[in-house]
Amino acid sequence: MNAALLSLKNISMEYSNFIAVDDLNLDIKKGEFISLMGPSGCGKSTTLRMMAGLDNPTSGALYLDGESQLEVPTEKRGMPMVWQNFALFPFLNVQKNIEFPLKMQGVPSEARSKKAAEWIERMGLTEFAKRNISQLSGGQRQRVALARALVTEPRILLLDEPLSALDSHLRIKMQTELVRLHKELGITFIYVTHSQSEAFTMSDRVVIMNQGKVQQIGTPKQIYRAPNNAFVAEFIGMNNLIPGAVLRLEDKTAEIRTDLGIFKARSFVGAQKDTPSKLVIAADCIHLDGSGEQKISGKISGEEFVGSVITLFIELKNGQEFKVQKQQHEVESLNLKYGADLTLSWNAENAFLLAS
Amino acid sequence: MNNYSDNLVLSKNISTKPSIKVRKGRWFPAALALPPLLWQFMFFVLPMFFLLALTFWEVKSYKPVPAFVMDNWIRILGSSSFQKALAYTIQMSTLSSIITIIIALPAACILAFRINKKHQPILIALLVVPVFTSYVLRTYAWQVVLSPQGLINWVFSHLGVTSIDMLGGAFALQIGYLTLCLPVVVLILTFSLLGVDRSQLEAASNLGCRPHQVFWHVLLPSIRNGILLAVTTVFMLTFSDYIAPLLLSGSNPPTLSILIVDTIKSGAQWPRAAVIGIVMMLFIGLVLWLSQLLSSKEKR
Amino acid sequence: MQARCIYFLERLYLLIIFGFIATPITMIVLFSFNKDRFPGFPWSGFSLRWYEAILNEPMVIESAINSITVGLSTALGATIIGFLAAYVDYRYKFRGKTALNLIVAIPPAIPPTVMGIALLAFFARIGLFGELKAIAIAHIAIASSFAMALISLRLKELDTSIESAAWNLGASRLQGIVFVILPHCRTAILAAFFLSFAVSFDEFMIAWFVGGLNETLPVRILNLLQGQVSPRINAIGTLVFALTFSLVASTLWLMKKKQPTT
Repeated sequence: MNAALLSLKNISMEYSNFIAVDDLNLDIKKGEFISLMGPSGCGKSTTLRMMAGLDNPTSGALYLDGESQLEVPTEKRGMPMVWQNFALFPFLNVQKNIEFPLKMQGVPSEARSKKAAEWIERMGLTEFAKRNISQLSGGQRQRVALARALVTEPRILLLDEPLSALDSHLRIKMQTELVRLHKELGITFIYVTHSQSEAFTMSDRVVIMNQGKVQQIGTPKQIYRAPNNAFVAEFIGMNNLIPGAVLRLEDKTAEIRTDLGIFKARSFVGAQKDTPSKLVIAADCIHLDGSGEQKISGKISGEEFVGSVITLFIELKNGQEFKVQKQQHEVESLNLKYGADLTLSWNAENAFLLAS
Repeated sequence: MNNYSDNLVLSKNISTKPSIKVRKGRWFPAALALPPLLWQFMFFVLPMFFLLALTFWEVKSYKPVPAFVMDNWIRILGSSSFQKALAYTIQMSTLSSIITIIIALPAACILAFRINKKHQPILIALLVVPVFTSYVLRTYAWQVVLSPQGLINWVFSHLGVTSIDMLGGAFALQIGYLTLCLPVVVLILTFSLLGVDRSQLEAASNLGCRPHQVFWHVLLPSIRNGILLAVTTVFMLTFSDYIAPLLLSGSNPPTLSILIVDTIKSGAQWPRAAVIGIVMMLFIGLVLWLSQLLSSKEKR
Repeated sequence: MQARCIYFLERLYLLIIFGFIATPITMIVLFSFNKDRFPGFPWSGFSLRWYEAILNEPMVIESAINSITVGLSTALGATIIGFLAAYVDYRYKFRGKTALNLIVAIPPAIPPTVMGIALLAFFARIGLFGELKAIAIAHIAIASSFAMALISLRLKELDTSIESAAWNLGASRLQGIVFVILPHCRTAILAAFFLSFAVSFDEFMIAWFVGGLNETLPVRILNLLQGQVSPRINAIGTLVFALTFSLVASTLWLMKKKQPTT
């Protein structure tokens, strides 16, 4: 299973005044759920549109099963897309929307309605089959859009921020449905999102992009625990970064000198003495009871609750902000006060250096 | 539902050479754009250039023949009948612009702000319909109203007023121009008034503006472009109108449109008519350019 | 009290304006049913004789048939040209697009007399003078502007991703137009058809210049008006009003009709 189903080679998309996608290489395996993620304008949607054949790259090559695709127009490429705004046909009812791609393939009307009926039932749309699109809720439209894209039984489904138009509880429900659908069909899902939680909960692999370039490709765990570079570490959100320079190198560890002191951490490939680098500590690897070997002190400047998880914001001596993530009950027992001094600590094996 | 277990084809030797930018299917948009482009070029742009060329041609035995002479320009621009017609047409069109705006503006204000929203679309429809309804007949009908045996004089005779012939003068001409322009101008002004943000007017009142101050200092400036559009529309329509002068003012004094037709009828002076036509277009262009200059550029 | 007075004055003003606009039309309809030969006051009694009279006038009937022929051809041609121009404007970006939009939009702003002599001189050169075809060709060049405006208005309501979605789902460029754009625009296309017909049906100057011996109805009316005025004009006028009224009213109704949008 290591042969690529879809392969992007040196793909670039240049406009007159900026480069949307810059020399992108990506191999997508058969049956995987892969997410393209990054801040808006990072080129993730353009990449998806190029896979679909809606935009043509200015250079590079695209292969499906080893066959070049760039000459193939979108209608012949067989990579249906689920659109951010669903792009359903407002003048057709639910059933006719789902039949549309079959009609374009010239499938006779009887076979068409039979096939559409299967998908209507599968997506739980039976009672809405004859409804107009304007009479449907957001979640129902989403299901019609999925059915319409899947009715031709494609090998690859492209999804362009499909959940961003839904409200938050529906979004979580649809995430489970997408994962179930992916498992049942066994086809490749290529998913574009700016939401970390969507990408990390659903995907087998995640591609982090910034300014048209791939920053890291890996499983959610790899990206979370071992970001490639400072951009990824920062983008993923719950990391603390302290800038400094390498002081001493050992086998796999190094010491870094920062204006908050000297710290020990895992080193990176190609590290040399005096190279500017950043110390990265994940927010949930920090202890509040002083049990870690590396220590730093600061004042509590704020807190934020999400569910049972609490994020503490600590202002360090040099004014930098540090994030600490803990379970709520752990923090409650410490009886912390706003503005109180606090010692943060972590173990050297949980911290690592990145080139900056 | 397991039709997806397609056999996995191992990827062949994939070359990483970048493919050439594909521009397939360019013919399709070209095929779509071609009919309008060709049609409008053949039957609008080309005739217009031909008209310009015609102004330099000569007439020999009642037929225009290709030449390059300035004679037509010199004759027309130097003729007193042309100069008079030009001055009269400009005068009448300007007068009509002023009259129409003054009459239409209050009506537009009432339609935009003082009418039950339910009735508004019906009244607007009643204004749209006449715009596309036989202007020739509507103008002719004014003969029946204004003539010595017409409606007005019939009413006058019952009131003991002596009958007056209202046909054949600037008054009748202006009535004809109003027939042509009033519905369009009321529509233009109503729509630009409807586009004004009501909260701006309320804010002005709230800041102590009296109603007439709101009108002069807030409402009028904010429909400035609408008024300019209305003025240019009236000017363009009346400047090129042939029917009202023909049927209501008896072509006396002639306007430029009347003069063009007369120039052709009398001795097939095509090149000279073309000169008048080009001058008319230049004047319309000038008015459009002026209104563009005066319009406020701010985006709303 | 003052408020009521203002309210009353406002209604009166509107009544006068609408009265002014309606007067000529009312006059023509009224006198078309008048028994008397001369359009004088008071009305001398109800009669249909002028309607019967026009049935016996072959030139009027012929010109009406000409007008309808030219009107239908114009409506068809202008709707196609207008649709193509509107669609190309909506979908594509290319150099010279503004120029294309302008040459479709401008013709109605050109003085009809000027347009008339330009086309007549031009058609005479290329041997198209004096045919109904010539009138229709010229009318299409003018009416396309209105057709394009109506269809563009409707296209603006369609998110461009909808047609891209159709392509993505296997529709060719042509299928995209047939199965997505046309269904979306169908009422606007019908409205454009009606309005183009109305524009052509009402146009006299160009028809007069380029038509030669082939008269359309407005040209015939103008010729009748310049000769001895007969109440038959009123009967013809009433019929013309009835037709254009229903055309423009259906256009408005079609444009107003609620249609699903996204």
